[in-house]
Amino acid sequence: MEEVLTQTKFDILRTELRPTELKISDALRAKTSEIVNSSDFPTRKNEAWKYTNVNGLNKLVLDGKNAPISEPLIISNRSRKLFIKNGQVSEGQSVLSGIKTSWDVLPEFYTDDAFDALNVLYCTAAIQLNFDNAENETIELVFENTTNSAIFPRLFIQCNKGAKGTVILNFQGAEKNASFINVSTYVNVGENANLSIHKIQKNGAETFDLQREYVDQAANSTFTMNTFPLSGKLTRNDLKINVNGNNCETFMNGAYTLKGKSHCDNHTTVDHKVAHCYSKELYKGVIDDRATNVFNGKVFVRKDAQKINAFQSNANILLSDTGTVNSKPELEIYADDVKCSHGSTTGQLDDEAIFYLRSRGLSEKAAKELLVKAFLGEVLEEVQNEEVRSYLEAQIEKHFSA
Amino acid sequence: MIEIKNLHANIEGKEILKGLTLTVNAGEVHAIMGPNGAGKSTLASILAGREEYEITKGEVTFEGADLLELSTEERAHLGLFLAFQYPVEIPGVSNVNFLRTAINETRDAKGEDPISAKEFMAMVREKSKIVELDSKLASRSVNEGFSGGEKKRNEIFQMAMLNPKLAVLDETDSGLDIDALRIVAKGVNTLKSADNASIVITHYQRLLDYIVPDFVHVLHDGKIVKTGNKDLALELEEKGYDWIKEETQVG
Repeated sequence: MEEVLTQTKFDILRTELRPTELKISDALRAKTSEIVNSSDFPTRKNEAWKYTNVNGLNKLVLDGKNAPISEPLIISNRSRKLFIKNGQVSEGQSVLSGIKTSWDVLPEFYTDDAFDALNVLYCTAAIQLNFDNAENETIELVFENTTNSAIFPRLFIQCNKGAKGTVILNFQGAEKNASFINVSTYVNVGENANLSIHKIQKNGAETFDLQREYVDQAANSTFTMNTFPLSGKLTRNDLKINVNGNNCETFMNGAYTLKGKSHCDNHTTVDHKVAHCYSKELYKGVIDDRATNVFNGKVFVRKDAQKINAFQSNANILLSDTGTVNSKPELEIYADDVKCSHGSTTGQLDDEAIFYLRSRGLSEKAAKELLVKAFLGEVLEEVQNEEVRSYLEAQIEKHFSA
Repeated sequence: MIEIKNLHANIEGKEILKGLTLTVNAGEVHAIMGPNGAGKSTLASILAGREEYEITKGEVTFEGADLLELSTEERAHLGLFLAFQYPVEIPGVSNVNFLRTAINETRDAKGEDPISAKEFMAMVREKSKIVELDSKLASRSVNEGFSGGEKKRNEIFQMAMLNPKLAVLDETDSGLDIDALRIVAKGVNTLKSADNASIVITHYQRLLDYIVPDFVHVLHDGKIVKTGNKDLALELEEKGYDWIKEETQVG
């Protein structure tokens, strides 16, 4: 008997993808296949995807068309670097200690997220970074995307007990690149460890970029995630942090500059499972032209997780009448002795401030640029790594001179 | 320096200026006084180029140019400066950075080279002394968290840095205690020269004890109704504005 199957959007997408060449255990393959097989693209009915439509993924032509990147690729001169070109770890790089790129079998991590499961089945590179000491070494992963292709890295970042480390995830796409970037990053921050990740998403104008970070923090640890979506057709970041131990500090910062028809969606979740922790989140961005921005920040404070201080703020400036912002802060608090706040603002640049600056001789453009830089400057001040900060300052400068 | 002829202006359909005429020459200080609602701040706003006002009649010539045709920044480049009644707080924009940008945009408009960092810092040190502005305030965000007096001193500091031909001080004395008033006035007097001029807009005579005007004009109902020397200000202080209003109605 022949079975009539309805083709899902995932089925269509998968015809464009090449199954991973990495070895996957039968169990992992079975589980992730089942997740993808039983899923379809999220729709508006799915609360977490209410404002972000990924149907355009199936219109992408991953034809391998190539264009060079005209700008400097590297952000940090002081870091050790690993180059990943069009999703594949570049050949001929010297093997660096603490960086693992070859596997007998892919680690068993997976979640029930269909794009994460897809990332397993079509993984193009699996990379593990290990930090073992307190030297605060910086490792930069340079993702150079010059051909229209599927880029499915799987990253495992381990910051061991008492260690300190900095990671720069540097995504650089050719100007008109049309790729599907799908990244899963699993992060483990050990006891007394301190890890910072700076993620820069400077994607090609037609690129879709869906990324997830799953973070676990052990007691007395500090974790910082800085996210900077700078360009691309659609960017979606899901940051999920489980604070599992006492006395942790968690910092989440984001700055975005959107123009054209680009769409950016940052979903963050901090789950305070235990007492005596601190988390602070600051996302700010400017939205021009017909661009749209989505922000959803969830903070959970579980029962018995007392003495939690959790602060969250999202602020947006619309530079055009046609830009859109959907911002939703969510607090779910089940403990009674906590200090939590959240705020979300969306507005225009202050006309009175523009007039004041112009009355001193600044052109309207220069006045606006100064105000935008000041607005985003609050986020950049949170960026401890000087090289990343000055890179971002230059990018913001360029964004407005273009 | 500036010639205002028969200026009429509306805001939201309401006529505020009804034929204002005023000429200010280099080296002169003019005070404009008048009751609330006479149009004093409207005049300041129009000169600086605020776009909410509709000019229905009249003309303004500044340094030979048709002022009303120029953008706010072009007026600044020509040497017009407005000290705001309510200086704006701009978080995240440092006073000195913004002033350097302002000076360089003006220099650029004149086809001059940008100011060097060394020259600029020397200028900041020199000019901040004039208004006894703490050098820490100079490098902080524009007016953010400044007291009323500090904001006004910052206005005069900016004026000193930009060295305008014509300064319009819009109720610079409002909200100032006597010490701040003295410092602000001293700043204005120090900057006075034969090549520049100022228009001091005020409700009270008090400021004019410190900044001695060459001319005092009374603005009432959108027009200058009386002009005199500094004694007119004293007379206004003594008698209030009602006699002017009555005199005008009779006239």
